[in-house]
Amino acid sequence: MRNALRDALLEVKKKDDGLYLIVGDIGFGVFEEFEETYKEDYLNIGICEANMIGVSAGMAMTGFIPLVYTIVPFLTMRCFEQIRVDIAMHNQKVILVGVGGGLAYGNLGPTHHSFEDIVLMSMLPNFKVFSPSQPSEGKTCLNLALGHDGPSYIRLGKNGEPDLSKYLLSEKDGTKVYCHNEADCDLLLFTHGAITYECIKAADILAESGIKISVCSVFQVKPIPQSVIQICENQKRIISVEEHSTYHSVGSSLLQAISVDGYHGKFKIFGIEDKFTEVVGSRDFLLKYHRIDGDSLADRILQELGDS
Amino acid sequence: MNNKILIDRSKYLRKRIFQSVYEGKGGHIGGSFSVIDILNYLYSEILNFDPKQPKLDSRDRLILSKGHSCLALYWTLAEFGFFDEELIRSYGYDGSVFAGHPEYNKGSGIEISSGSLGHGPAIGVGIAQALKLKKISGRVFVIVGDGESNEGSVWEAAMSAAQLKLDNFYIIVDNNGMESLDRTDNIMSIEPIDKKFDAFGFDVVRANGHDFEEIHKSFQNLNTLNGKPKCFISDTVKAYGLSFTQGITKWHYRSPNESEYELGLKELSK
Repeated sequence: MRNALRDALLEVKKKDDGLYLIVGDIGFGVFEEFEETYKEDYLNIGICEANMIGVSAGMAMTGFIPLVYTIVPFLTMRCFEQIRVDIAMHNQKVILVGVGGGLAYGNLGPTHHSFEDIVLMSMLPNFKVFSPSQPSEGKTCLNLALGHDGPSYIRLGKNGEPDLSKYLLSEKDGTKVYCHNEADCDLLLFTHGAITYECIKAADILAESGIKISVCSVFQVKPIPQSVIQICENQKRIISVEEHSTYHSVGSSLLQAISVDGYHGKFKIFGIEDKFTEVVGSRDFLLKYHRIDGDSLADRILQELGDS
Repeated sequence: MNNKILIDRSKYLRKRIFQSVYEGKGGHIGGSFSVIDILNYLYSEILNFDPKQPKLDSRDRLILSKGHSCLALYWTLAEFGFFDEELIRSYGYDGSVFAGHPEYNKGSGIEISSGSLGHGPAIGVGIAQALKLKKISGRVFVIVGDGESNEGSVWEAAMSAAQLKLDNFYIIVDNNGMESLDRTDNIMSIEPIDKKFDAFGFDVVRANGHDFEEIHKSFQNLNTLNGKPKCFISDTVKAYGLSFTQGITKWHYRSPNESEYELGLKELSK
């Protein structure tokens, strides 16, 4: 996803001379071509995230479109108040791109994980928030951010996320449905970002037992697309699966949105429980630890269905 | 520079600030009175601006990073024709245009919303860098407080300004020696502040921030395009200009009572 976004950036840059890339000393092997080709419009500002956000806001106020890139927790949490005041309050068109969302930097430990970022960024007025699940969506999100007359946050995984188009059944206004038709499923998994693939794995496992799981994934998580609200408000059973805290999540906002006229189905949120990850391991290992990998999800869904 | 005009203007602006603090039942009188002379000087003698075209690309930008001194900015902008002073009259009342810290879209000439300390320098660096890249001649002046300089973000921005060779970037330190609760030296001393900025790669001058001739002389030494950002240390006194407020901690944020108001108005009208 990271490399897909880089390629999209190079493509967009050819057309848009206002784009200015600022990195916080992160991105080895990623932005060399951009730096060489667009030397004037590239800045490694150093390890100073609060400053990086203020500088990007100032540049946006003076006619540039800054795209700011570093690892998710440093980008969104260390300098949250700079984002709130300098970017959101001034409604500046700055595109924040966080790499390593969720548990992507598994082995690097909990300082490098993120399970708070999407809600933090979503709480800020004027912001649009994106969580692409696969390389092609990285480009889509970049274009949507460029088309938004205000700030955006794009949460990336790391790299090597598979293309999911072979599982795709339908797509409407930014909502994609995988594995099984949403109108005729036993349970719908709502999801976004790289963990969409784990949901698809779970749906595949359960399909072997004749259980019909529809996987409904969005890449724009704020505002939540109307198309996904329409799909979800008529479901009998929904589980929101996110590489994010379960305490507050996109699932919480979705439940709120579909409850406006009264939602009578069952709704659960699976994700990272309200604790830091104390074990060390790869993303796959940690997804299993938090019981949100494909196998664990299949087990938990079976249990949910059995409990009813 | 006409010293008398500047002195009279500062006195007038202090009186207006004092009235607003009384009528609006609160305000940061201490920081407003310490910064008003340098603000007055910058708008009178240094900044290139046109109140009729407040968004002109080539304008000099003044960022009041120590946003709590907003009354000094509001009255200075009104004095220089950015908006009608009637706008400030509602200060302190429900539904007022102006808050107790400046908001960028609430008045012509207010470049950024400030109030949370330590934000102005980085935004200023971004603007200065953008102006350089676009080859636009405007300069950026960021006014910070000595207390504000406790914030690490001030120093991150200072390092960036030097690294990017932003000789169109100015930091003005309103060094009034006091924070909210005590003297800066008793909380987190910033001295030697001139040597610090010098070590960070700035051209630095230092002057009595209430003496226009001294300020003017110092500024003359800064106006060169040498690839270095500039720093002006304005040594000031908190709540300066009124005998019973200057240098007194309690006047950081306070509204005068009726007898103090009458006394102050009389002194500022002399």
